[in-house]
Amino acid sequence: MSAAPQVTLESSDGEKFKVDKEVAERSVLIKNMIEDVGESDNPIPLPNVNASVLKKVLEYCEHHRGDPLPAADADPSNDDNRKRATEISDWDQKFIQVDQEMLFEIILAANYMDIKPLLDVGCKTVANMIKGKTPEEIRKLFNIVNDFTPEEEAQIKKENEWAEDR
Amino acid sequence: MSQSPSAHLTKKSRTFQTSDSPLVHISALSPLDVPELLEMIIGNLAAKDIVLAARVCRTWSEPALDRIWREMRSLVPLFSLVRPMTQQSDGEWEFIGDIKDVDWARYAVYAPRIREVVVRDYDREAQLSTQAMRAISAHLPSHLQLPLPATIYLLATAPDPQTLLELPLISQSLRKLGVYFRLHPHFITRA
Repeated sequence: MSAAPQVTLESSDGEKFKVDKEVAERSVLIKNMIEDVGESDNPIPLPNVNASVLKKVLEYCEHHRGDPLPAADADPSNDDNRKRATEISDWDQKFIQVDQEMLFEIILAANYMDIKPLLDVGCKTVANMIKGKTPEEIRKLFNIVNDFTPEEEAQIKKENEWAEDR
Repeated sequence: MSQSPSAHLTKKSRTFQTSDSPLVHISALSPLDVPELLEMIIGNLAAKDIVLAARVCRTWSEPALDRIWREMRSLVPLFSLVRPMTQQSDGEWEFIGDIKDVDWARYAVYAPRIREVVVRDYDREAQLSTQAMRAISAHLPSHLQLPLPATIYLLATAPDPQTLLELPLISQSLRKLGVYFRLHPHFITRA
């Protein structure tokens, strides 16, 4: 039996990662690149992902290497396909317990590398951080400047109160 | 996601030297600055948290309000923006006063966000009175009829002229209409 085919990925800061092709192909971006270019010994450059983030992303891909790929036509706006914020598996939950900067970098990398399930886990984690917080607490958490006047904010509150307990 | 991910990576970029490419732009961007990612994050929130998210800042407000107003089970919240409404003894909603010369500006902020309306003729609590519907039909400026493709699910016990009165308001944008005949709750309990 021959060894599993491998590919080399290169992070933005020049570090090279040799991984099983099956693991790398959890990323739709890489899968498509390999399909376009064909088998090659040249490293695949990922100019938007640094080594520490790529290492973390590959840890996720390794753990989920055997998972069925998500359906490409799944409509995220459909309630049946949109799982609620709390539904993150134990392993994923532990994996994503990182500081905010790393969490944000993982989300950006998952978006860039097109790894839908990882992007989902990241977005749900941010949603869980927001859950139950006031607008002011949310602004503090993410360093957001309030560009509403008090009157504008009060107006939005008043006009949307009906939706609070749907 | 139609936009390429790299399209967002121009903001706040720093320059890095690597062996292969002399200039590689790395973004110090936050996912909260990427509209499609902010939309995904907000989409994972429960209704009460989305209402709070809408007040954070202008950037957050847009996707949050789009989400809140996308699917409506009643048009009462929309028309209450035009003029306060009050619930009558039969449960239906009536305008307080005349809507002849009202300002439709706030209505215009929210109406385009509505994509789907579910009208249930057996749910009087969520319905506008015939009189209110007539007033709206008479005074709604034509350019403010819901301008985007909308789906209406009409859940009806029988074709009822009053329920159908709501349709002309949205007909301009209507792309899909589902009429569902359901047994009236009274019939179900009797059976």
